[in-house]
Amino acid sequence: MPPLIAARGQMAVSLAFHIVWASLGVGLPLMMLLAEGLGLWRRNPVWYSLAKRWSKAFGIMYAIGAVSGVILSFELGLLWPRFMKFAGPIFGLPFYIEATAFFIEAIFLGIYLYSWEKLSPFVHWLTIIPLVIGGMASSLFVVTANAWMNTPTGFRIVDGKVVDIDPIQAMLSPSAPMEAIHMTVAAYEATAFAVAAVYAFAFLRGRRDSYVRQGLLLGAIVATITAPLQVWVGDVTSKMVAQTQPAKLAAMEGLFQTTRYAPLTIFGWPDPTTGRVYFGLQINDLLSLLAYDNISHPVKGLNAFPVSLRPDTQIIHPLYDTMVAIGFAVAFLTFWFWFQYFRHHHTVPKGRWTLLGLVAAGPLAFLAIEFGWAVTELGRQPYIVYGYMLVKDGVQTAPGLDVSFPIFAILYVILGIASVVFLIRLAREKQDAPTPRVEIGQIIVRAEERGEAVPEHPEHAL
Amino acid sequence: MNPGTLAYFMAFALWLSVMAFAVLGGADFGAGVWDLLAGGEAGERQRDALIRAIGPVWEANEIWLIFLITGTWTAFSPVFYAVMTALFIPLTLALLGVVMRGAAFAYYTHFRAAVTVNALWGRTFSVASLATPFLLGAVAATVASGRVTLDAAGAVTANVITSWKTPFALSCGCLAVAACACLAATYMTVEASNQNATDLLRIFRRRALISGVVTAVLGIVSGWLASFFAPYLFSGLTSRALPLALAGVTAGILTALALLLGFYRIARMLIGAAVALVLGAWAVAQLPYLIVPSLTIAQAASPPGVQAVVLIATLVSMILVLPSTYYMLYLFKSRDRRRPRLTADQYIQSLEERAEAASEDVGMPGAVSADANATPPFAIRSIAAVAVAMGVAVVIGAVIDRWRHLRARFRLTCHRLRN
Repeated sequence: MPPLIAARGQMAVSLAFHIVWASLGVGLPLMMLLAEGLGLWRRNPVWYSLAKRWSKAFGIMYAIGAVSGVILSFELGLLWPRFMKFAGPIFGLPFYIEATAFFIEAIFLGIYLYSWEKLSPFVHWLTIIPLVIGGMASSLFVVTANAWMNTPTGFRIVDGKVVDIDPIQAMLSPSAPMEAIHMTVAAYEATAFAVAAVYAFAFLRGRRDSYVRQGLLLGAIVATITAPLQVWVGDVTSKMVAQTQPAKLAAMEGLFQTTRYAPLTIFGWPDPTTGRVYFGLQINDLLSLLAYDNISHPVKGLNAFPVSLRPDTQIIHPLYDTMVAIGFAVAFLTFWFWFQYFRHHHTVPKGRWTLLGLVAAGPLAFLAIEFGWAVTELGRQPYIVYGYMLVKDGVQTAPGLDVSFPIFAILYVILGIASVVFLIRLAREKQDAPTPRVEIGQIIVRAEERGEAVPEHPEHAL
Repeated sequence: MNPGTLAYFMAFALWLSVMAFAVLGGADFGAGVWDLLAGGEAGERQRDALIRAIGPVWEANEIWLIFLITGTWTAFSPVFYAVMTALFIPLTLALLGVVMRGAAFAYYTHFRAAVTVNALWGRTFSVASLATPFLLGAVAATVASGRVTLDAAGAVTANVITSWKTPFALSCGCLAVAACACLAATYMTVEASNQNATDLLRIFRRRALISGVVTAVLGIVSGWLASFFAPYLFSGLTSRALPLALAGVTAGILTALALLLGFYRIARMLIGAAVALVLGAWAVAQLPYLIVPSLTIAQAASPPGVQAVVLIATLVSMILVLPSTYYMLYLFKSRDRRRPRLTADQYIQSLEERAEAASEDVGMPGAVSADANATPPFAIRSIAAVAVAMGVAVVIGAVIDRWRHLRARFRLTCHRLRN
């Protein structure tokens, strides 16, 4: 196997593996903060059961995310040492800051997981706050490094040498804000859908206790806030790509000829040899409108770029449209969920299709993240630093890449299977789910606290 | 400030993270070694104690390694390139070790009761904990011994397959494993004495002393081998770095004394100091080279602007990290912490008991069945209302944002239709 293919393959599987656990590592602390906060505020042990159960799962997920992150930082050097020699001083700062955020997260995760019997309830809840901030900061900063690769700034090349390096300006490159926000919102969204999916699945299997209901509702709430927001953020991000990386936009949209009043092609199969997209749904003028807010603005097609510098639209266009379709679909699903909720007198929808949709939305949201990353990385190629360095010029020269790629691929399969098996085992542990006595008793207690009459048959009011 | 001085400060900061990784993370690796060797009657209890000790802290301790890597590629990127290229094989293997250890430990801690998990992932954790310091020690030895050679253009000319397979590297690898084991055993004496587990205390004390002797012997062997394989390092150790090296050795001897006399906390500090001092001696012995003999600190340094920014980031980072680390260690490693009046666990317990008591008063029937008229708590309803309102606001905002263009398109369409 050619070393370049092996290196790209190993980096791709490493990133694809890491992003799942990293997204959960960013999103779950928020869910735990809300759940334990609600437990504290409403004095409700069921919320605490949820928080505890999630924190155990989070311990495993965070560990896997952390080790896969260590792999990535090593692999930046093991697979792309020449790239790092050039780019290291320029874009190294956000990685360094991310290491700090990660450090804070790791410290407070250890504290949170192991101090249930050492800290008072309020202080224990407070220890989640650094987790949430650390997760958000990690995500924001590390993505600015990738943004630099797409829109490099903060340095000049004079006579083949890199001069005037400004790491802060490199961190604040043109695409940094939107990329960082888009990924961070995606992490929260995917986690919320994953949580909702787990409890929607339990609903489908017939469990209706308040533990499952509250878990589903919390996931649905966070999903409803993030999913429509993400659709808008995605739109602004694509506009940013249109401004800064027109070749990527052309590949994303399957546009070959530079045109004004450019049409939007939804799905379809682009063929670079004939320059046409087959079986796509074309909507006139829409691409110019979406990309530049002006239907007569020309949109550059792939033919405007030299053949060797064109990203592969055959892969990128279907992946991009799938990601957008999933984004719209899950946003619509959240609206449908609340429509059903309020229509049925504030009860969690029990319709099979709604619940199945929620169960599917979990993995689909993560699939959208994977496809989005594939689009942005493949769309930048053949450049590793857009406009400055090609992928093949940054790759490792030492032998052994064709051996390390299969080893790591197998490693990820093993770790993936093992992690899923262990998480399912965790989910099946019965200890932390509240007993019916506790649930019913909680209703009675709440009624007493509010000064209402205690219900005759409290089990019916669950 | 002289740009050269800035680079030296940065190199010093990076070396501090090497020392922190060794003193803190090294003990976690050492715990894996003792997990492998735990045997006899108290074997399971030893394993329990080891896992409990490193459980809250191992992930945080690993991050010093990340600081080292990211700091090196930012501040001294030619060094990063050279090491990652020439030492591709041992570093890839070390990486596999780090990953397998981390993942195995995550599975091992949560599911120890299951026998297969114990066997499979427990062994993976232990073996990986042994392999990683060995490989990292070999990498360090290769860098120090001048086998990472570069040509005039800066490309790596070292032999990737053989440069790291020298007796010196082998010896330094074993030295690293022994040092990690010694660190872990010494720290465990403090853990054991915190919990008043006298048999574990005896076991770990003995192991600390034995591994200390092994470390000392390996240190002498490595030093002797250095005179053949790493002459520059050897001459530095015996001249510039001699005070530091001697201080490290003295601290090691004092650690043994402290262990024998029963001063476990002092022993813990001394062994940490010993490791740090020996690492410091290595750095000073190698000055001014970061990679002997190819790259000095000044040659490999990034421009002063970058160095300055990274140093400031390091300062801010330490302001955030060090107090948090101290809090974590205080919470888990100190003996006489005052417990709060009501812990979180106790609070949850009291809530559940209160609910159970209330349901008993009412005389609750059997199992609960699902019901269509469920009413969720007020809190959820209010959050849900806010969420829906935000979603609607986003949609309205998008429509308003697009209104100009929608109107323009509408007008254009009408115009076209008319003509």
